[in-house]
Amino acid sequence: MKTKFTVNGKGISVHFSPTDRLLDVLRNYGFTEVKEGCRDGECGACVVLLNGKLVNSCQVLAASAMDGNVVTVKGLAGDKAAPIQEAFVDAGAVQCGFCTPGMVLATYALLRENPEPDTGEIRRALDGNLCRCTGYVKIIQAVQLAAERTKHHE
Amino acid sequence: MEQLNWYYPENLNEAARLVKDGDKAPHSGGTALIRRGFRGIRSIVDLSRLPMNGIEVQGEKIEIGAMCSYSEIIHETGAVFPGHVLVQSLKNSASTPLRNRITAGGSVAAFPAWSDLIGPLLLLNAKVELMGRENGIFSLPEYLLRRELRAGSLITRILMKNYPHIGLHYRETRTQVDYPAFTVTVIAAPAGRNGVFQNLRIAVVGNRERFRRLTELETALNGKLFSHLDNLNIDNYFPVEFPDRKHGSGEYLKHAAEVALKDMLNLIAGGKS
Repeated sequence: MKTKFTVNGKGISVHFSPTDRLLDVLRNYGFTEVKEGCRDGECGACVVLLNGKLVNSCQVLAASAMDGNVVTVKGLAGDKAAPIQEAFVDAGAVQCGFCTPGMVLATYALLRENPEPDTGEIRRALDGNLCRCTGYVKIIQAVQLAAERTKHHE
Repeated sequence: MEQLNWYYPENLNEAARLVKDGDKAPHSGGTALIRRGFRGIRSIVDLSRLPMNGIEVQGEKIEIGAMCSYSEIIHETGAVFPGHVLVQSLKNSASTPLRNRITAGGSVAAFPAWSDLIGPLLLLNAKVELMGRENGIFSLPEYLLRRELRAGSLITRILMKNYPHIGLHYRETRTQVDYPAFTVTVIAAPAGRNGVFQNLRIAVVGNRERFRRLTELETALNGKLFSHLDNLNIDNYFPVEFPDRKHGSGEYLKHAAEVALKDMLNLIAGGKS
């Protein structure tokens, strides 16, 4: 099959088989910041924004995302993501870093809808992202810090 | 692998025509198809371009387009009625990125044993609108029980009445992100009306029969004072059996479901949700 995706603002033509998952197509075309974890929709390492919504790319059939607009963590680079990325570093919320792209995207999706989330709302928003290194205390602190900084950034 | 064709209908009539023969698998964007695998499937009908994604919450009526995601249901229904049983059940279902993909229609059509949607819909007397081989509006239990309704037809909308209620939803899971072994859903008229159970409805999903309304227990409690609960042996009104699952034996799950139900009824009697 052949289609066009817009990935991080740029149109790309892609070929894939009818059963391929969006995760595999993205990685095959060089977007290796989209991490492959469980392939079962449970770990959140592969999340991307598809047409503005946070989704597990391992649970999306590429053929069902035809002409879709995809944003990976690299597509967030710039002023919108900087406070989130810096907050994760400053809060010590990154260890091996494998889950971090997903965490940053989930945080971005949360703060876009809800700029001042409470702890419960943060936990719920990140409930699809697993971290096997740090635990979650520092990650939640990072999101709180990012919310604070994003508020001042605007 | 055999050739697999995708179809992208632009309107409902075209989609209905495509699925009518029952040899093409509809795909609404959720996880059912990936989990099922592609064995035996030669054609897939992608429903994402169809106009089936609105939610109307108006007074006593809720209409959910089949392509509405769990997240949209939580957001739209919750904006009007934060304590709605659909909000209570779906907000803990799956995870945020999956709730953004799983659709109401796909979830009803696939009806996995761990469904968090079916219990609330049963209690709200939901109906499904079908197009394809079957056309018309059918009660949810009828749709779930009659296999011939599911083959060759698309769910286009889910319709239900909206009752003022306290809604409680219990999921038997080992961890927060686990699939539930079963769910118990209870709704009742808001507490405070003379300490009496009113419009109490109870559903269990994931049991041997797949789902069950506990109508005998509802009858035994509706119109009775909350204190009646103290003298009622719920075991006598719980004719529900469970298969053994990874979560525990059938016997254990039955006991867990009864305990959960007692706690939920006590919460309603205490006026909390």
